Amino acid sequence: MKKSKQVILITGITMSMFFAGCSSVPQEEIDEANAAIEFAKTAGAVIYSPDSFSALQDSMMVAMEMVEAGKSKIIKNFNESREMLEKVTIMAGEVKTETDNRIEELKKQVQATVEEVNILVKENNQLVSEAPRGKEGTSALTAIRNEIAMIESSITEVGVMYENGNYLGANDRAIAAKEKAVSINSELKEVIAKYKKAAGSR
Amino acid sequence: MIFLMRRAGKILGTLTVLLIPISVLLLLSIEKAPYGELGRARDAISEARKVRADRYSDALFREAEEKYDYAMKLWKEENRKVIFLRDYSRAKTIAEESFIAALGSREDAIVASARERKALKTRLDNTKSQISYFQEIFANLPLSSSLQEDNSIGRLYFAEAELAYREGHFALCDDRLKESNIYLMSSYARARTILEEYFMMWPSWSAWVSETIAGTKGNSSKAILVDKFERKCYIYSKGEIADHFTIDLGSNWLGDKNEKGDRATPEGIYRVARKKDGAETKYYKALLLDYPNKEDRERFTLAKKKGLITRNAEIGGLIEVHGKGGTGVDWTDGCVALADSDMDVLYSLCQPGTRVTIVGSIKPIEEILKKER
Repeated sequence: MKKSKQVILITGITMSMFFAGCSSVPQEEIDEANAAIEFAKTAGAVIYSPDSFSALQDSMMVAMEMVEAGKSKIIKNFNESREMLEKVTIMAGEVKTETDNRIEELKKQVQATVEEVNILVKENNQLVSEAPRGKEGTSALTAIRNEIAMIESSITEVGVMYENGNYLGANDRAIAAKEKAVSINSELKEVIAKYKKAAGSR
Repeated sequence: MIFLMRRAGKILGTLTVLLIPISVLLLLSIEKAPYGELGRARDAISEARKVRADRYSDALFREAEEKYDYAMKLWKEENRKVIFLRDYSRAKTIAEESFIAALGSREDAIVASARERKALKTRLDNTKSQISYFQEIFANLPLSSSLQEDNSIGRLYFAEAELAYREGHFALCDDRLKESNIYLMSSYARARTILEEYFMMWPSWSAWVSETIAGTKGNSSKAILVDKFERKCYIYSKGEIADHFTIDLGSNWLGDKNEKGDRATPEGIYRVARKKDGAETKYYKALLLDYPNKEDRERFTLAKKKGLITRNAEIGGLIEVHGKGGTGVDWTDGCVALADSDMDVLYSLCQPGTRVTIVGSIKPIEEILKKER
């Protein structure tokens, strides 16, 4: 009798090994991870945290491979994949935070650069107005005035880009405008110094 | 009852004895899932993405991604089958193909991105040269506001292109360079046309130059030759250059003088009418020229007749070669200004009657533009 029970037990285990699926696919975790990734993507992670977002996508792929690996086992086990999916969800949250921080950082950077450019433009305009009038160079300053106007229009475009949420583009344009404004400032000071030298000697 | 139970036990025992080896055989026959193959493909895709294979080897990279997705799909499909009937071989093959495609796209991307970086650098350098060239050749020309505006926009875009390149944003760099070149090329073409039109007078200038230089040969007379384009003033003696100085001109120097107040420096063969110094001039020392000469008066009358200048226009005068120059800026009302120290030299060498020839350029336009890059 004892022997018969043992035989029945072994048979039962063997059968269950073949046919039983003792764990279910972590669909809830998959959905959560996907939603978190989508959230990070919507926040602009693809543009503002591209490397982190790529790593996040890779991790999700690993998690999905783990899910399939879990399904492939005789005794289905999704513990590993469940853990990985939870990590992916956390990671997606971190990428979203990183993206938000990067955007904030860029916004501040753009604002600061625009502020610097505005000061430079104001100074440049002041320098132009201080330049001797009449034959001593109004015409020679025309090119510089044009360049100042271009910088001002460039800064207006920065504002539009900023409003449209294109912070990277706005930052690039603002930096380029600043570089130009700095070079104009030097050029202008040099030209005015020449005028002053000429005027002083007359 | 006991007998029946014993019989059932025996049957179950026999079945178990039979099932165990069958189970073992079946377990051994279960194929291993394509976990490793897909992992390898995924890693390769990730590495390829890091070198921007999605941009530089788009087709192959897409193939790698599609094959990976397909291999995953096959794996999922097989997982829906009864465990003993699963066949992962197709998924493994496709995953392997994805891996190979990803490796290929990575290699292609490395080569292509290096090539693009190099090409962009060359284009940036060329555009930079073009900007310098424009500055060198055309910066002194009194160009229109719209032309200068185009050039400024081009230079601003160029600054953005340089910045994008430094930050590794090559696609953006490419876009900005293209935009930059549109504006720069437009301003260059227009400025070149203006210069070419101005140089239509070169045959006359060349003749005046030859005549002026020849006039100093075989005698002790000196002559002054003013090259407006080069901002140079040469003293000729015995057919040779005895000295040369840098000059400032009128702000509207490009072209001949048409009327009083146009801030243009006249072009032609003139003579020193009078030497002025001390209280006679506010420009240190001056050589008053005999502008307008006969040709100037004829041209002025004709221009008035043709309506090129207003009826009330005056021909002007008081064109001098004077001091207080050397500023590097065109500030005069049409006179030629030298630094005071240079004026001392020139003043001492010239007498009333000394020939002063003013031309747009001694060199032909081809020579000026040959610096073209």
